[in-house]
Amino acid sequence: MEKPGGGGVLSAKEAFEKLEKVGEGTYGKVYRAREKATGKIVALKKTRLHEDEEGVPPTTLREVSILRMLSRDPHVVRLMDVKQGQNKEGKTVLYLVFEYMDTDLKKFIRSFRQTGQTVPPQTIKSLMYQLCKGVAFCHGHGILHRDLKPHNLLMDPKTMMLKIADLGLARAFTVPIKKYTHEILTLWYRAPEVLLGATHYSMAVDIWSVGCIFAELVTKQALFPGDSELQQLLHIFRLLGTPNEDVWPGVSKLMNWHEYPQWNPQSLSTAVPSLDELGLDLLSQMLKYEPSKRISAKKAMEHAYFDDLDKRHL
Amino acid sequence: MASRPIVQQEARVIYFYDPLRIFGAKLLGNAPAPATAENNKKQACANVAGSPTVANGGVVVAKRMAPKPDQKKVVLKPKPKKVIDIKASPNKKEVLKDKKKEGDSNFKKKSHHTLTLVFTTRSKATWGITNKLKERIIDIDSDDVDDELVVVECIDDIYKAILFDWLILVHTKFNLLLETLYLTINIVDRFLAVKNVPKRELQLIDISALLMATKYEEIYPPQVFGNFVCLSDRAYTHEQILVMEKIILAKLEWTLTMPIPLVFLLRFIKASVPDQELENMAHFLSELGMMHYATIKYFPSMVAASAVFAARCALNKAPLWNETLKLHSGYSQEQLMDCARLLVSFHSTVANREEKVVYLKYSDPEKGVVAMLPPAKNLLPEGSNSQ
Repeated sequence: MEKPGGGGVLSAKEAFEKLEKVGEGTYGKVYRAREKATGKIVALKKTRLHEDEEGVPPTTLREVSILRMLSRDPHVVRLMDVKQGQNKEGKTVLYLVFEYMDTDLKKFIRSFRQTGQTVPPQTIKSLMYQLCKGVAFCHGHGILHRDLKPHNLLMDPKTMMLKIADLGLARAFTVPIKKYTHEILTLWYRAPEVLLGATHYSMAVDIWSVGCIFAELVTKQALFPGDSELQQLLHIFRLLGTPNEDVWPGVSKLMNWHEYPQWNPQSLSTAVPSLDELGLDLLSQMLKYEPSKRISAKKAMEHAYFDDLDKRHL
Repeated sequence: MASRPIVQQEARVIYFYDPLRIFGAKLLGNAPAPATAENNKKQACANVAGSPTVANGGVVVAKRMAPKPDQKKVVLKPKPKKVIDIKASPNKKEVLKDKKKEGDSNFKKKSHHTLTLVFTTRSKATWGITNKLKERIIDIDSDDVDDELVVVECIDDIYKAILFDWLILVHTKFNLLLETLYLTINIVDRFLAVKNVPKRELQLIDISALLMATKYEEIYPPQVFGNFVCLSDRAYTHEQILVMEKIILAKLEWTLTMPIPLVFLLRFIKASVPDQELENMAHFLSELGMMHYATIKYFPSMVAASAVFAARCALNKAPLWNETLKLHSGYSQEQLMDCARLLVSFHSTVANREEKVVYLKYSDPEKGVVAMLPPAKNLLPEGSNSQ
């Protein structure tokens, strides 16, 4: 049986010079590195392959496979190559070679919070449009991201270009939607149907996350900062009201449904006071309880909120 | 949250004992010869599973090719390098001794089995002939190991059907998603289209492809060590399975997000406003299509649409195709005719095939016994036998 990986291809160690560690994920570290041949700066995502256990992790398998299809979109991070190498213990290591982006939306928001400045409304609009465009592209190709959060949205602060990254939890979906695990997505950006234990979910889970990110861009604070699944639900219910069969048919049949404290819905302007009327309308459509009533990414791009945005270079 | 139930290893091995060993045997020689007695059958299976499938030297390479109509299988014979007239030789031992002196490696004592020996042993064991051969067997394939023209063979529908039968058994055993079944076949087909592989590695490829598909599609993929090693009846090690996984991924450039017929099938079934019988029949025909290489020339969406159309024909649904189906599938009735006829022809012969796990699967009352229903007569050529 032949050895995996071509003979003439340079290994990751030979091809790249690691410059610094810039992050750490579930399966390994992320480095800023320089490609020796071209001098180009790239991001190297290192993944340990557990030969002694299960081989290529499912998250890596999905991420690489999905990025092979989605990488051509300007709003999805570009996977340039997949390299194989060995660590000091002689174990196989996989390096995903990505284009390097200077920052992410989490750091971008934090920088504004620390200086006490507000993110300019046109910048918010531009970033939100790019996010909707990237999500629409993913959904149009049958891919759910399932882990949209500011940390996974890479940015170039000079050009204000935004790209969706970290598709480790992403997966292809079929119509009709089949059962998926409900243990996905960082709590703060997790849709209520997922929190309530739904295993049949769809593109709407990503739209909820987009709505949470939208509000966070405006206020520089997480909209629903829960520290447990229950607290997360209560945060949502306090603002949007406790759902019932009238506003969300079928909610009481979901696996994690209990009798919750009863709150009346508040106006979104109480949580996001500086957002204009059109922005609030778009946000309210992104944060609808009933998943099928939530706006799609494609429809969101056509919303009047984006009418005054110059979309030519986005 | 309920996790996948843990199956006792003994139960798992017992369940797969026969199908797996027969699968290994079938991959080497299309089908085992009929045994004279029950214990001979067992012995045959044990021998095949236990012995190395192909000589280290004598590599039989399998390449996946779509069959061409009315084309006979061409056997390319090696050009003889030097003919030794064994009959004319006064003393065979002397010839062998002389050859040894010349350093011809072909005549060194083999520590491994040749392909011929494996086939011979298998058939002899099947027929209960156990007396050992007195003369040494000359490895007639060893000179041709590097000659691709000599060693290339077609993986035809028989191999595909054997693989598919085995996959359905595994799929049912582990209660896997239909997506996993379709993706496994897709991975195997694409890999064999770009890579020549020794026949002995076919099952290894199937297992590694299944491993990849479960990781991609399932919420809780079965574990390699506990499950996938047992699937091969321990013919392959844990490490071999994982190395092959990486080879396949590299060869396919990590592209697993692919259009498979199932994605379209679910959509077109929905557009057909189905009852349970129609749904089962469409799935049955689609899976029959996956068993055969003849469907590879059609787009996955066309195979799916043809399965729905052929199912509607078989169940006499009126109209056979309508504007809704045309809109959602993008195909007219005329465009689907060729592919639908092909699926119906598979339906008409499946009951008589040796590899018929898919037939048995859809003969189950849970699946509405749709496999036993007559195929769409209006799509069958006149005079052809239906079941």
